[in-house]
Amino acid sequence: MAGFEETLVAAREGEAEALARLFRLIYPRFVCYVGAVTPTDAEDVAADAWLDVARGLHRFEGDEQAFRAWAFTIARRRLLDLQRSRARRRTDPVEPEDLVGAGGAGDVEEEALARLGTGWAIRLITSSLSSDQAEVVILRVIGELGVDEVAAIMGKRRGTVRVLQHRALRRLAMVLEGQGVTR
Amino acid sequence: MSGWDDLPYEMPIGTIDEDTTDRLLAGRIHPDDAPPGYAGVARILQAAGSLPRSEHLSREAELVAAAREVMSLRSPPGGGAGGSPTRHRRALAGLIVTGALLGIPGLAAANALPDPAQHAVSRVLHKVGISVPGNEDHPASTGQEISNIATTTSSIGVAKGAEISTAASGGKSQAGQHGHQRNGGARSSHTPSVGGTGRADAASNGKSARGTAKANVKSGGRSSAGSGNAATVPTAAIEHGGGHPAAHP
Repeated sequence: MAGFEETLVAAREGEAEALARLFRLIYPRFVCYVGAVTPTDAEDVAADAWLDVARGLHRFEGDEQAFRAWAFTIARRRLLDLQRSRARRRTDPVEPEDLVGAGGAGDVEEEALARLGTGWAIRLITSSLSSDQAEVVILRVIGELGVDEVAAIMGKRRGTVRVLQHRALRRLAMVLEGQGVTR
Repeated sequence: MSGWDDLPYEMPIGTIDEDTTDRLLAGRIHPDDAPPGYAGVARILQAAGSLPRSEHLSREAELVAAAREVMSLRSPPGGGAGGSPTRHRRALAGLIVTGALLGIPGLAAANALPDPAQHAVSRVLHKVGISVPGNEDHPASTGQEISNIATTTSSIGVAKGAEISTAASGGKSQAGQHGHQRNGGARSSHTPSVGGTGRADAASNGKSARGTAKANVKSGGRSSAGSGNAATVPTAAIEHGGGHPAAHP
């Protein structure tokens, strides 16, 4: 398996397999990231962002981590474009108790754990946290990005991102404790 | 956000440091090893990070092909993200410049530009070895040539002026071709000079006339001070076309 650098060089030349590797690297993350904000448009926005990445590939220089950060910067711009063009597209937040209780009667913890999946987890994150907190958590978890990279993408200071993520996890813990998901 | 103020904040949720926060977010802490109160968070974050690959890869072939296409074009498809207004403006400016570069010499070659523009373009193109109408049909293109004609021609008077004007205008001037000169080239007119001198003499109490005589003596008769007493010889001045400002051609 070629390293990232070789993949990048081949992808710039338009080699299909190299492009497919880059696609697998970022496209599912795009869908999850965008889907956290606007589930119905996730595939379309992710596809547009992917094509933007392909267009700008000849300009990019860096390793895989830098590539993810650069790609998420593009995806975020695409997302902001969509949000601007639609005054309010974001779906109404779902109350966490609705999510956790959606499995019906029985052991709440078992039901919740059985339903744990990426989509469910992301919906719980976005519905429990402020938009900034949720975005920090998603970029860090889905994008596998560091604090500095998230700060750059969101246009915030490093310390601000640290505070946001700390408060986000604490709030999540409180929500889950309150719903009996955590032991 | 609604409802969060009612959360039981007294829950036994410990404080976590930056390193623990980072490891939780990276999915490197197993729920069983999570700090008190954070086991559920660890599960949620691990679940969020486990991407459902196959679910989102159904469009791989389609989108990779699309990526190859946009890369080969290096320009955005209609309405795409790369279609910035700046890029469109640059393209438009490029078209205008290209059109000007191609169109102006073309019009110049066809001698279809207005005269000043035709002449200017002709001179510019002449310097780079391209000959278009408007450069060679002008008898005198520079001030130096006009000056040479003015200083070397044997013509005089109206004829000289007409020659220079014709050279400078490329034959378009009709100067000197209409009408005729009067009195052998010296146009003169009658200007009564009576009274002025007399008044001067009266005002100066005769000193004006004395000054004239004195000047005549000193210059051996060459001085024209007092204009030969215009009050006494007005006709001579008029007939000779000299000695009076209005008599110049």
